[in-house]
Formats: sequence, structure tokens, C-alpha cells
Amino acid sequence: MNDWVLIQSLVVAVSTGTPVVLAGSGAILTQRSGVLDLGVEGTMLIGAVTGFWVTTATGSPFAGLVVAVLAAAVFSMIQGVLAVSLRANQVVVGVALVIFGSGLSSFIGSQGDPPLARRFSGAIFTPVFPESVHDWPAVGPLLLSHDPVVYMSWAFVAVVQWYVFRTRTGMHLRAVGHDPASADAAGLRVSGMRYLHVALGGAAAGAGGGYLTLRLFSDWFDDMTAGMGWIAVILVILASWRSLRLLVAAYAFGAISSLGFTLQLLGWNIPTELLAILPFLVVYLVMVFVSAAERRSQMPAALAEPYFRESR
Amino acid sequence: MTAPAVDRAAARSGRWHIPITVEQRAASRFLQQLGVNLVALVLAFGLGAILLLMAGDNPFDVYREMFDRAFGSSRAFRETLRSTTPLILTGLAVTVCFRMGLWSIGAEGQLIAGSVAGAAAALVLGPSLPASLAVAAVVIAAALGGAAWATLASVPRALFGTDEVVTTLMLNFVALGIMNYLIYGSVSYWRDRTNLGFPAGKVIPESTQLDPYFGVFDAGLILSLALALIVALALRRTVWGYQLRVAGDSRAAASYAGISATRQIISVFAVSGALAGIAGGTFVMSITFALEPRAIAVNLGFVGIVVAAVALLKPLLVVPIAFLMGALLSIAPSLSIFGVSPAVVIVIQGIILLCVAGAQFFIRYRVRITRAEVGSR
Repeated sequence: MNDWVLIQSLVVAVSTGTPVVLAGSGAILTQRSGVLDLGVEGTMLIGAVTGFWVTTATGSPFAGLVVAVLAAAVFSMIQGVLAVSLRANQVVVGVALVIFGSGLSSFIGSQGDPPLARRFSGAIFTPVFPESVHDWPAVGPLLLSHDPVVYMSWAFVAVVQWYVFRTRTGMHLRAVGHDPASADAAGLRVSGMRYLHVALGGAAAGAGGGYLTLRLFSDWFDDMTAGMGWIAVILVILASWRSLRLLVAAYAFGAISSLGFTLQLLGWNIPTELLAILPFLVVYLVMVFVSAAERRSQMPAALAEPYFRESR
Repeated sequence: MTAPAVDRAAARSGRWHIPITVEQRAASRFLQQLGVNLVALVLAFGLGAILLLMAGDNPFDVYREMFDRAFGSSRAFRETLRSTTPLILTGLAVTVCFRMGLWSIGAEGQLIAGSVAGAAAALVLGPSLPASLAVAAVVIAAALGGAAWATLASVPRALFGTDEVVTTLMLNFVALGIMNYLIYGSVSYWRDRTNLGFPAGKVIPESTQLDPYFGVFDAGLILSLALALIVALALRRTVWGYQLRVAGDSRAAASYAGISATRQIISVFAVSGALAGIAGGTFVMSITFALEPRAIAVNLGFVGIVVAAVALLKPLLVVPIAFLMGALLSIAPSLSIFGVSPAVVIVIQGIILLCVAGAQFFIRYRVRITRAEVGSR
């Protein structure tokens, strides 16, 4: 494999992995608070369709991204109410949110004349730095050729890492997810923390969804996330709830997903249907091997367990 | 450090005293549970109506039209029944796993595995066997296919504790990819090689295509009703079912009682996978008549979760709820004819599941409005 193919493949891996980086880092915040939001796939779709809608109306991908983030944060409040206040089963709520988000985004996409699903926005995110620097050896394509959302995702990963492990609120967050009864006794607002981090996770998933319509595919089609949201949730587990590891895992996912592109550059021809299986097969196998080898889980101890003050 | 924190919390709860108390119910009556779920169903249609209003449609007209298209004619009724069969089976598949506290969301993939195996059996054995034997062979092959696919999740779960939510989900996508590959990505045994247009599945022999008896019931529906009864009896009257319910209530209790978790997890998954697999097999025999990825991968497994949850994980209740969801599902394609996005059906399904999940709160807890006593907490 020559260097050019390798570098081009890495660049594509970064853009393919970016929605997962964003949604996954957000899911770290949610899961650290003790809420397992399996609805990320649905939340991403809401972000994708609302972001696309606003961008076709305003011509500004930035406006689209802002709306995607806000809409997704609002959408994720369904998870907040059901999982935190009504203490519902989080697996069932997650599946319900994916079904609802898929249906609602598809419904929104069918509105308008012509419907959103048949529109082409034209306005998408473009690289931050001028074309001339993209050709600098290695550094150019790998670090300087990206659009603003990729740089935002790097900043977000760093902020999440710093926030969770280096700040006081981050410590409170981990306490709430680990032992809500003790956190409550120590005066932390368990429900408030959980609501907040469900919203933050939803907002990040919305940004990830927005990236799909505003850069990666540059238009909207039904169920376009195609499992990316589920992958994001699962990579969080594989990354032991740490955002730097998640970044690596998400780009590995990006590389595997875009393997078809690489193989095409190398002149190989493998049916796309088989390549489409690959990321899911790899995640399945890695999950099995990791759980077989694992000694001690890093999982927030109260993950997916509703907290009820009276029953402690 | 700790003491002032507690005081702060106390001060806060005094400031924000909400005149509502929430108490855990000791036990809840079955009818009460059912009532709460029915209210949730009505609420879901109400929320769906709001969405329709926002999109500029008249919800009453849309719902009346939906009702007509689901039950209005004998043909409509037959279509509804045909969509009911797979949902009874995936609903049962989910019920069996959820009752044990195994959060398998793999019915979708197991249904696909069952369709692939069932279609293979139909294509290979259909021409040479008499109709009744051929249909039985398809059902058995589909059950085995679904059970085998479930085993890919159950064995890691039983041996290493690999989270079944994760593995079943990933296996859904793998199964879908394999089915797509068999028809769209290769010239496989399942693909119609005489068709030079858009890739399509090879049509199964007539001996394996199910015709409705009396114009209504086909063998698939009768089989699914029988299986609902069998699952209900198995859960209630067999040692296997008893152990499953014990483990569902408390893993620790089950292990103290000497129930082997390993064997139990694998057997429950196998039964669940077989049920979902049969859903795929009968779907091929009565609806698609070929391995048609686009017609088969329509979220029947996920809707099975909705069915099971609304049915309170009771096998016999799965039947009427599946009928209701089948009605919704069968009208989806025709909605676009009168200008409403078929996605409305998915939205309503999602809202139903959200409402039912939320409604469990009112089954488990009693909410009372209490008079705030000033200064008390």
C-alpha cells in the first residue's frame, strides 16, 4: 500500500468516524451519570433531519448544526423524563426512542414541497484552512484539511476528558453514576445531574447527526445513520467510558466502515454488502473477546439503574 | 465536609417542597396493569393526532381512514391478520427473553436468519415433498436458523457475561447484511437467476406457499396461536418455565436454588430465537414467497418488543396486541395514497412503547398529592 492511499484512507476514516466521536463522547457523559441512553441512533436522526431542514432554509450549515444540537437535546429529554423521573426500563426506552426518532425524522423529512428527502442543500461545511496547506506532506491532509466540525469534535473529546477527571463537577458526575445513594446523602442533586447529562449527551448526538447531513452525505435520507448511533453507544463501553479511547475506537470504526473506499483505491472489488457487515461483525467479536478477557469492569456501577430515594 | 453538605440538601428540600408523595406499591393487580397500558395506548394515538395536526392533516380523517383500511373490508381484515402472524411470534420471542431479564433485542436478526433458512428449505425440499411435509420442513428449518443465530449471543452471554443488548444488536446488522449480500451482492442459491432486472429472490415452490383457509386463517397464523398457548403453558406449568420466572425475579435466588444459569440462558435464547425464526419462515411462506430483503427487513423484530411490552410480557395477551400492531403495520404502505407519510405508523409505534414504558411507573408506584405542612420535610 503506498503512502498516498494510506493517508487518503485515514482522512476518510476521520470524517466517517466523526459522527461517532461526537455521539460517543456525549454518551460518555450520559452513561457516567448512570443513565444508559440507547436511543442515540434516534437522537442522531432527529439532529440530522432538523439540521438539514434549517440549512436548506437558511443556507448556513452553522445555523443547521445549532438547531440540530438544540432539537436533539430537547428530544433526549424524553429519555430524561422516562429514565430519571419515571424510572422506566432503560433498554425498552432506548429501543422506543430509536423507533420514535426513526419515524419522526422520516415524517419530518416527508414534509415540505418538494419534501426534504428530495432536496439537495448545497450548503455544507467546508475545510477551515485554504487548499494550499492541504498538500503539505502528511500534516496537511491529516490535520489541516478538515472542516470545522472535526476540530470541534477534537475539542469536545478533550473537554469531556478534562471535565470528567479533572473538575469538581466531573467528580460529582462520576459519584452520581457510581453510587447515587451516597451522592444524594452528600448533597448532590442526583436527578438534576442526570437530566443535565442526558441533555448534553443528546446535544452531542444531535451534532453527530447534523454532521451526516451537513457534511458526510450532504443530503437527507431515511434511517441514514444505519447503525452509527448503536455503534457509538457500544464503543463507549469498549472505550471504558473514556473519551480519548473513544476517539481512537471511533476512527477505527471509521477506517473499517470506509474500507471499501481504500480497497477501491487499491483496485480491489469486494461487494459492498459484505463490507457493510464488517464494522458490526468486528464490534461483535471485539465485545466477546473483551468480555472474555476482562477482569474488572470500569462501568459506572449504577448504570441503567433508576434511583429512588425512598428505596435505598 | 460531609455534615454541611447534608444540611444544604435539607435546606434545599425545604425550599422546594413539592406536595406529591410517591410510594412503592406492594403488589399490583393485573387488571390495573392492563388498564394503565390501555391508557398509554390511547395517549399514544392522542400524541400521534397532535403530530398529524402540526403537519396540516386532519387526525380524525386519517384515523378513520386507517381504521377502514385495517378492518373495513374482508380483504383489509385478511391483510391485518397476515401482518399479525409474525408479530405474535416476535412478541413471544421477546416475551420469553424479557421474562428472564435477558434484554435481547435480537428478534430482528433471528427473524432474518429464519427467513434465510426457511427459504432455503422451501427451495430445496419444496419441489420433492408433499405440501404438508414441505411446510413443516420450512418451519423446522426456520426455527433452527433463528435458534442458531440466537446462540451467537447466548453462548458469550452464558460463558463470559457478554452484554446481550450489544451482541444481539450487532448480530441484527450482520444478519441483515448477509441477507442483502445473498440477493443483491451475489448470485446465490436464493436469488432468481432468470430475472435480469433488479435483483430479486427466487420464488418458493407453490407447495410451500400458504393459502388462507376459510379466506382468513392461514397455517402460519394457526401455528402462531398454538405457539402462544404452548409458551403460556410452558411458562406456567413446566419446570423450565418456573425456573425461568425465578431467574427473572432474582438471579441470586435462582443460583441459590441450584438453577444452572448457563444452561438456562442458552435454552431461553434458543427458544426465543426459534420463535423469531419461525416468524421469518412463515413470513416468507405467506407474504413474500421469496427471500426479499426489502420486504423482510421491516422492523418486525423491533415491533415485537412493542408488542411484548404492551402485553405485559404475558404470552396470551401478545395475541390481541399483535393483532392491533398488525393492523397498524398493514396500513402503513397505503397511507401515502392519501397524502400522509407512512412514517406516521412508526411514530405511533414509538410513542406507544414510550408511553407504556413510562406508564409502568404508575403500576409500580402510587402517586398521591399531599398537603404541604409548612416547615416539615
